[in-house]
Amino acid sequence: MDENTSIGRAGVEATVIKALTWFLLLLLLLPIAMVLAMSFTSVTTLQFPPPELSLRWYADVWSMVSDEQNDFTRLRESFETSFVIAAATSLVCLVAGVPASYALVRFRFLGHRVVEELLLSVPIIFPTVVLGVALLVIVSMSGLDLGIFQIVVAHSIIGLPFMMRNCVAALHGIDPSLQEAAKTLGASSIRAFTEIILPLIRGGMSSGVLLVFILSFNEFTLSYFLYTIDVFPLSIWLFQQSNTSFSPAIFAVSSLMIVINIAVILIVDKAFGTQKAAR
Amino acid sequence: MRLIAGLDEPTGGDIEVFGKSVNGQPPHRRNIGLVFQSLAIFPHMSVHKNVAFGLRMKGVERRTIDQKVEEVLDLVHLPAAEYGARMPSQLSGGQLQRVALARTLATEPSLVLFDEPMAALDRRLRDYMAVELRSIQKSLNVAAVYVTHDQETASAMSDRIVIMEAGKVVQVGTPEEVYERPGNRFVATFLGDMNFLEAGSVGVWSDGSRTVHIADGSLVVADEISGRREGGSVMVRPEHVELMTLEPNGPGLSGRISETQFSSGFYRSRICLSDGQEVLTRSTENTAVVCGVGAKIWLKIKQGRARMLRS
Repeated sequence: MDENTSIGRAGVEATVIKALTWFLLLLLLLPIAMVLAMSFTSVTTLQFPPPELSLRWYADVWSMVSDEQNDFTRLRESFETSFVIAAATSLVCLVAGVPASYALVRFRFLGHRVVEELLLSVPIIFPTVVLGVALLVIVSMSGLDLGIFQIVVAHSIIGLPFMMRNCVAALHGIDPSLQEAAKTLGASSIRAFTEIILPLIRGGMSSGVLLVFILSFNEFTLSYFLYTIDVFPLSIWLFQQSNTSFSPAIFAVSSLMIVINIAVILIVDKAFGTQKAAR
Repeated sequence: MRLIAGLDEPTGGDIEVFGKSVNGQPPHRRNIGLVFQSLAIFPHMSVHKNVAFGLRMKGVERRTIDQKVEEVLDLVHLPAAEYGARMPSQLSGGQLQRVALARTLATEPSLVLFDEPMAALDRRLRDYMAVELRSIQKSLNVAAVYVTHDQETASAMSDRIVIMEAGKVVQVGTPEEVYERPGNRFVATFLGDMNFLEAGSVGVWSDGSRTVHIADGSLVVADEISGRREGGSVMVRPEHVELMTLEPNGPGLSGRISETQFSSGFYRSRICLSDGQEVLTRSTENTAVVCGVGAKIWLKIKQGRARMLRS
């Protein structure tokens, strides 16, 4: 009797867990699926499901991108801007993050634990809206026009912890005697670093760069505070378009963004699998 | 070891290598090779690249590097043609050991340091590598310092042993010297089994040799005993105790067999003296087994093998 009840309860629990899992998955994937579906619609109105499938909005996007005369939509420019910002942010985070991670892992300075915690978590838990306001105030007070770099700097602030998490994990896996061995074999400290450490944390660095690139490419909040007429990221373009002319073309652009993100992840994962990155 | 290699800086004192102070010199300028305990083989480089690393850092020409790498790999019996392209993950522990050695030797260091590199190997491989390492070291005629906790490796490989206890040097000498004439209890037990027998009184025989009374017998010690007439400890290695079924002429001890055991070619027995002290013996003779546990037996110490413990 008791056994039956407990089995029954376990069965109910399993069903509930299963249902919840599917519900959450649906919640996560439905909007994306809708965006993908709507991008293939044949009509100009926002009907769901699309009455007929077509590629007309992709053609529309293509003409917006390829047509040099079309100043108004600025899609191509926005795409390029986002790409340059993401690439520059990745580079900044790489150049700053690798030495910083190395210092955190190898040197035991006073309060290094606190620094580690601050660097790794604060930018993640700090509200980006607040950071956006703060940066906007600084930029307008200083009167400097840094152009594209003001967004690069903003993105680097939130990107750095992601970069460093990966590098710190990779560095922890390296036997310190490898570097010492290199030194006794005649390598200076710098060469020991470039010949031994860098190749061994390549996986961590790549997944860091990947994360930062995607983060920056998709970032909206900070970009919204800091964009200008000349620096107009893709996320801002999408937002603007959805506010003004709500054409299904933005679903096509969104779908393309999703495809780009997935492609970047797949390529990097293929090149340096998660296993390698963790090592 | 790390101080000699330059990986750590001494807080005081001076380190001289071949009479020259190396204080303040960074490790990459010292030309001192170090074989690490962890071996520290670069996991992302092939065997060839590992061995070539030091030469590359010194800016040696490519052709010369390839030649030298081939040469040292031959020396450690890892022919470059077969092993050069392999990655460290494809090698066994013993082979990694050889790569580490080859990598260190390739740069022709003036001094090679070994930081217990064979600790992780199993016993047979370790003994084999020890012999081989010794012959390589002799054929290259390079000075080497080998740190180990394994006294057998130490004895088998060295010209000179330095025994350290808690960071202080306690004895320096050839392997025979430190084995046969240990300076204190620590050195004596570190290098193998040792009997310590509490002596009653010390007498002088007519021929000038020293006789020490222990329990109801006596034995002759090899050292001069200056000024001490009573007490003290006598050290005897188990293999220097002979078991006899009849009372010997001259000095000897007697006791009862409390345990016998046969292992790897030796009969080990434990003899209980009349005052309760125990003596370990190790012999190729099966005397103790024939007599049986509990039988009375006489002990004779081989001439010149018993010594007074000085401290």
